[in-house]
Parts: sequence; C-alpha cells; structure tokens
Amino acid sequence: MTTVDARPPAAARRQGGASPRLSRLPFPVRLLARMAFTLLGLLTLLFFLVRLKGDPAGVLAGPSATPDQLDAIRAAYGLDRPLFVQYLEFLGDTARLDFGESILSGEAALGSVLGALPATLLLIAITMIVSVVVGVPAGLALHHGPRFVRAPLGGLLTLAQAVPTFVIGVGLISLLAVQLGLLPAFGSGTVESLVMPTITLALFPIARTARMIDAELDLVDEQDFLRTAAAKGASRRRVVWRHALPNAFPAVTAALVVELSYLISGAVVVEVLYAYDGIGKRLVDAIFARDYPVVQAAVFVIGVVVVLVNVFGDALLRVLDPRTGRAAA
Amino acid sequence: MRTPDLRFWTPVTVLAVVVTACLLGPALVDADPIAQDLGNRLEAPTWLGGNGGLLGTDSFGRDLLARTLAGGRVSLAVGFGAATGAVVLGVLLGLLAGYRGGRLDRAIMTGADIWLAFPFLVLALAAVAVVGSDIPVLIALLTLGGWVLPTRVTRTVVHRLRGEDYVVAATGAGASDRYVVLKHLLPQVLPVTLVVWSFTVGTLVVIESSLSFLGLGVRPPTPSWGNLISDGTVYLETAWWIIAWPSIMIALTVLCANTLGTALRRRLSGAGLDPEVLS
Amino acid sequence: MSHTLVIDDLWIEAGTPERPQVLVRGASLTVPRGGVVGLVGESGSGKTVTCMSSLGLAGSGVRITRGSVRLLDTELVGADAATMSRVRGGVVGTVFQDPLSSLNPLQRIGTQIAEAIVLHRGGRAAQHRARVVELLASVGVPGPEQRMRAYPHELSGGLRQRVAIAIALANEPALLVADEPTTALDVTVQAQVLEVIRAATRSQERSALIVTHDFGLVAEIADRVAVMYAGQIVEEGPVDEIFDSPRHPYTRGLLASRPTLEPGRRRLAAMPGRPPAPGQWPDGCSFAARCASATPQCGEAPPVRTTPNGWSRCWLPAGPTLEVVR
Repeated sequence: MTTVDARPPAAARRQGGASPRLSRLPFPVRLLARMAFTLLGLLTLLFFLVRLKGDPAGVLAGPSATPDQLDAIRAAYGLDRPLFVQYLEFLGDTARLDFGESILSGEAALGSVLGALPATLLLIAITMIVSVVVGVPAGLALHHGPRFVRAPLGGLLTLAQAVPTFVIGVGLISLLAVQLGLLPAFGSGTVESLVMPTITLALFPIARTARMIDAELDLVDEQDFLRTAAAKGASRRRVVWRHALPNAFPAVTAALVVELSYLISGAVVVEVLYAYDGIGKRLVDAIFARDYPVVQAAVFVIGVVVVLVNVFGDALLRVLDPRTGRAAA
Repeated sequence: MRTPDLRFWTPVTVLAVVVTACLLGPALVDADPIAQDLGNRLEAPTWLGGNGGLLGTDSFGRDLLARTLAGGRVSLAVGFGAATGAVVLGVLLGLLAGYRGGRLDRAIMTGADIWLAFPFLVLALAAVAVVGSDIPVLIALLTLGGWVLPTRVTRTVVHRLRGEDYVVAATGAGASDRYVVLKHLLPQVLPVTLVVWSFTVGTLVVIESSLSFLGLGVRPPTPSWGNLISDGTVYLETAWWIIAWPSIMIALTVLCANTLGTALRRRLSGAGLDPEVLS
Repeated sequence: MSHTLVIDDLWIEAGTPERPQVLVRGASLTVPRGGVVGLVGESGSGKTVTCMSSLGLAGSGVRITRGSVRLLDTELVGADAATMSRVRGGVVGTVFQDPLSSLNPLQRIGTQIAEAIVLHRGGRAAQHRARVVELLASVGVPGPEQRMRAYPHELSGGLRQRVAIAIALANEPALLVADEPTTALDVTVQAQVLEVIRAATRSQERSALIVTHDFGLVAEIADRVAVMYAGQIVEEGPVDEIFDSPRHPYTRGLLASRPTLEPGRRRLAAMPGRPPAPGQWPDGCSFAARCASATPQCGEAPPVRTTPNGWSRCWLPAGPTLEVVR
C-alpha cells in the first residue's frame, strides 16, 4: 500500500542519530530516501496549506458551495476528526493516488492533470535540448571567439537573463504572430504551436548555459592536463573539444538539473500566455476556478517530476564525472 | 586620478532615478492612474502622433505614465520589501547553520537543497489559491521565495570564519556566542549579503510580475508592472505602447539589479571575500 | 655528431609588447645524443620557462623573441602548429611536475596513454591496447591490464607520475623532457620514479632534459649539468666535473649549501642575498652582489670561459680552481 515510503530509510530515520548510519547506506537507497522525504514534505505542505485560512471545507468545496455541500465535504474529508488522523488519511489517499474530484468537472483530480502532463514534458524536454544545442556553442563563442563577437554576444546574453520570460513571449507574439503572421499565437498539439513557447522558454537557459560554459572553460583553461594534451601532440582544436569541453560538462549537467525548476515555472507562464494545454495551464485555470483538488494534484505531479529529474540528474553526474563518488552526500 | 567605477555607479544611479520617479509619481504627473477616461481610450503617446499624454493611454483611457509610475511603486515595494525580508531571514538561518553546525546545519542545508529544487512559482500559485494575494501577503510569500541564497552564502562565510583565529580567541577569552556573532561575524557577512540582496531584488521583481501577469499577484485596479503588461497583451496590434513601458521598466530594474550585484561582487573579491561563494 | 637538442641564445619575455619583462636572456644549452642533461637553478631562474617555451607549451603570455631551438633537424622557434603537433609527443615526450593536475580527471589512464599513440600512429584507441599494457608494465605499474581502466584520482602520486612517463614515452621519442618530475612526490616515492626515468634514459637512442632544483636528482641520473641563474645559464659541464670542481661561484655556493651527514657539525653554508628579479638584473654579472670573489671587473658582463668539456660565465680564470670547501 505504501509505495511512497520505502521502509529501510524510514526505519533509519527513526533511529536517533541516524545521520552517520545514513551515509553508510548504499547510494540508491539514500537517493530513494531523499525522494520519499521530499515528496512527504511537499504533501505535508499541501496538507497544511488548505488549512491556513481556517476552514478547509470552504477551500475544498469552492466559493459557490451551499452549506449542505460544505457539510458534505466535511464529512467526506473527515474534517472534524483530529488533525493527525486527517494527516494520515491524507497520506494514505495520496499513496493510493486519490486526490479527490475536480469541483468543476467531477472527474478525478489526478486524472485531469495527468492528461496534460505529456504536453508540458514535451515542451520542457525540447527546451532543454535547444538550450544545450544553442547554449554550448554560444558559450564556446563567448570564450574563444574574436572580440567583435564576444562583446555583443555577451550583451545579448545579459539582456536575455534580465528580461522576464513572459515579456519576451509577448514580444515574440507581437513580432512573429501578429506582425508577420508566421506562427500561431496560441494553441497546442501541432508542431508550430510548440515553436514560440520553446523559443520564449529557452532564451534564459541558453543565456545561463552559455555563461556557465564560459566560466567553466575559464576554470578548465588553467588546468594542467590541457598542457599535457598539447604536449602529446594534440592540435588546439582537439584540446578544446576533446579535453576542455568535456570537463565543463559535469557543471553544465548539474546546472541543467537546477534549471528544471526555472523551466517548470517558466512553462506555467508560457503555457498560459500561449494557451498551450499543459499542466501549468491546468494549474492556473484551476486556481481561477477555485478548484483546489485539481490544484493539489497538479502541484503534487509537478513535485514528482522534479524529484525524478533530480534523481536522474544525480545519476547522470556520477557517470559524467567519476570523481563524484566520495564527495557526493 | 581614480576613474569612477561605472559598472557600479551606472546601475545605482539608474535604480535611484527609477525608485525616486515612482515614489514621487503623483507629484510629477497630475494624472490619476486609476481614473478612467473612456473618451480617450487607446491613445498613442503625443510623440507618436496621438494625444494620450507622454506615454499614451490604455483601454480605459487611464494615463500610462501615471500608471507605470504607480505600478512601479507597487512592484518595487514588493520586490525590495520581499528581498529585504528574504535576506534578513536568510542571514539569520545562515548564522544559525554556520555557527551551530552539526545537525542543525545539516537540517537547514538539506531543507535549502530541497526547497531550491522545487519551482517556487508553483508553490506560490498554490498558496495564492488559498490565501489570496494582498500586497502584504505577497511580500511575505516572496520572502519565502528568496531565503535560500542568503542562507547558503551566510553559512559558507560563517563556516569559514568560525575557524579563524580571532573568532576562536574571542570565544576563548569568554565572549558569549551572541557577542561573537554580532561583533565578529556579522560585519564580515554584511558585504556579501549586499550582493545577494541585489540579485534577489532582480529575482523577486520577476516573480512578482509573473504572478501579476498571470492575474494571481497584484489584483486590478491596483497597478503593478506585471498586470499592466497583461492588460496590454490583448492590444498588441493596436496599442503596443501599453505593454512597452512596464516591460522596459522591469527589464531595466532587473538589469540594474544584476549589474549592481556583479559590480559589488567584483569589489568584494578585491577585498578578499571569495566570489566563488556566490556562484 | 649532431645533438638531439640545441638551444642557442634564447631570449624569452612576458608581459605586453609595450612593457615587456625579460625572463630568459641568451640561454644556450645542448643535449647530446643519448645524453641526460640536468638543468638546475632556483625558482625564478627561468629554467622551466626555457624548457616549456622551447616546446611551445609556455602559455599565451610568454614569447620567444630571439634565438633558436633545434630539435634533431627541426627548428622549433617560429614553427607552425602542424609541425609542433608532430614534434610534441612524437619526437619529444614531456613529463610535468604535478601528476594529479596534469592528467585529465575524467578519462581513464589507458585512454590517455592510447591517445598519445593515436595522435601519431593513427588508428583507434582499442587497437593499441597491447601497447598501452606494455608501456604501463615498462614503467613499473603492477597489474597493467586492470590498472589501465583506472581514473587518475584512484591512483597514488607515484603511480600517476609513472603513467605520465608512460604517456611521454608512448611513441619512443628521441628526447624526454621532465620538469621537476619528482618534486611533487613523497620522498620515498621519488626514488622509485627516479628509477623509472633512469631506465628510460639508459638507451643510447634517447636523450633527456631534466629540469630540477634538486642536485641529488642531477647527481643520480644526469651526464651533464647546466646551471641557470637570473635568466642565464652560468655554467655547463659534465656532472662529475661540476660536482668536484665547480667553476662558477654560484654553482659553488649551491653545492656548498647542501646539508651533509658528514661528521664535524658545521653551520649550513648559505649564500647571502637573493637572486635579482626579472627586470632588475644588473649590468654586468648578475651574481656579483652575492659573490665572495667579486672584483670591480664584474661590473661588466663576464665572458664565457671554456674548458675541455664545459664552460662558465665568469671573470675568474678558468685554470685550476678552488676546491669546494666542505
């Protein structure tokens, strides 16, 4: 029944002074423990969030609920029982993937959210790819390029990091959709409908990635092993592409994983702006409709995605940089 | 002859001008940001041929210069206020974590890691769904959005300083924890904190405008740069100036905050404070 | 008989062209076929810069302004990138001081050794597996088939340096250049790595240029010694002669200042003063200020006094010399 709470880490946590023992557990177990812990924290947050304004029934039932409906909600959620009992029930429900029903549509909250997830994942995945494909060469150009390239490029990147996502988006719509009529200003499901959201979302990560590659290459440039490669007879190009750049990758990967949280936030805004039917748009729609069960489900699903990507990212880092074994927590 | 550090003074000056202009808004412009003038809707700015005042009017005929300045008051208040709150909270936690060390340190740092991994905007949206988005609430919320960086930075600095001889000597001479922290550690932490504050202002202004743009931050009719942009999105074709000014203001503010932060960081690294701490 | 390496009147400077800082002035040395030359001097004397610049490995701020470096029959000063790539790793193998930072932390050592081979013999890394194992065995790495899959941080300092030597020797170069090869190692490990270098230089086909501040190292493996001071080579000669009867007062001072285990405790003989920094070299002999035998004549640049097997840059007559006072 409890799929979320893995048993060994929970046991280790309950023992006093568990930390030293915790670090001796094998890495996959520790990772799972962190996952479970994070999701537990998120659920706890959601649990208390509803109760922040006093009567959770009002929040859960929606603003237009009649007193009868409120009572029904109270009964259904057991809101008159002790807090701790409610908490455990809540955890049990979420473990069974039961997030209640949408106030609007009546269907399962989780279901209506999961349906929109692939679209968002697609947007984020493509944006990540674009940010690497464009960002890495941009970073290289920033680092090794001639002066007349470096200065304007640097300025452009600074600007891209300062202007908020939605401002760029609005500008793009104005230019590409309204003025030039090249791309649809809203919608989802088609390839064209992905283009502008992707460009809008990707500008900031591209700038970040490029700057980071530049900075990493600065660090790596000092490294003696580049001199060794030259001493072996490697050409300058080979030294850069085969030795310098791969050594910048671990840092870039770590940054990409961190970037995910920006990408999700950005995706929410971008989806609303472009009426792109992803989980972000569902979340915002649900908030406007005061459909809290759906809000809860959406936040949880996003949480799971974040946790999974972090786990994957950690694993990838260990592959890319063999030194991460001892140093990592 | 020491040339003035332009990278520092330019953003400071621009920011000062922006803040002053917004604060003095009503004194500068005699138009009311909320008063509607439906006979004068969607007028272009005078220098573009319309008769909408300096910056044009919006779909309700409201003067955009007044609205932009008024919106700036709100956005900057939230941004600066929340940044300050976040930094205060962060420094406190960082001092605790860095000075006490041990399990408290580990707990705070793990909490920071987990918090950072999660997209804050999503949590903020969920919170707004429940508690609404009055301005004090927004400030409190955004404070929670920015506490991690100051905590981390403070903790790193304190960690490093804790082992320094003069700190150990002070404790050995009988100084209480509070004395050591206030007299020895805090002065060293403050300069770095300033850098963090700078960057945080930029970050939080963006988050606030994103929330307001979505309609879940500052609610109309109170203007904020974010909801001004959202108002203007519909009129992109016909009255592009509506979104232009608030967009420029946001970009300018964030640019200045970032540039200022970078300049401060550079100054500090000259004084021996490790800039790597702030990456 | 042609030498392996001939450095002739090399001038090296750093800094901007408007404000140059001369690091090396008129350095000349030869490495004969099959010979091992030790280049000794204090830090700042210019010995590393001379070595690295000759191979084009000195970094972007440093440039050769005058002189020639002839490796076998190739002139290296002013050579194009393709020539340098061919020469480096192929004709000359280099070993650096710190084996942890001079090996790529993200690549297995087998890959790094194989790369040296691939760059000059072509083919793919997998094809040279046998040769990699052979090289690792030749430098004394135990269990080479397994070790070649290790990452640098998994090996001890001594093993890492052996790997670096294997990389340098991968293509049977005619010249091995080593910059402080044992300085970064534990004392106990130094002797082992020294053995590896000695074995590598035993062959009459291979010459070596070892840069070091350690006279003991020089005594162990060098045939000839060149002493560098303040950007100049001040003495050169066979190692026995230099040790028994050094001509230049600086060399004498260096040898005399080595701690000894001989009975009869006496104070450690130290040379007063410090070497002049680049850019603050005096006219005339740069060692005059610290030299016990200085005369007014030393205000002029001293001539090169040759002996049957070497030379020194000093005003003192090159006849019978003072014994080193011990």
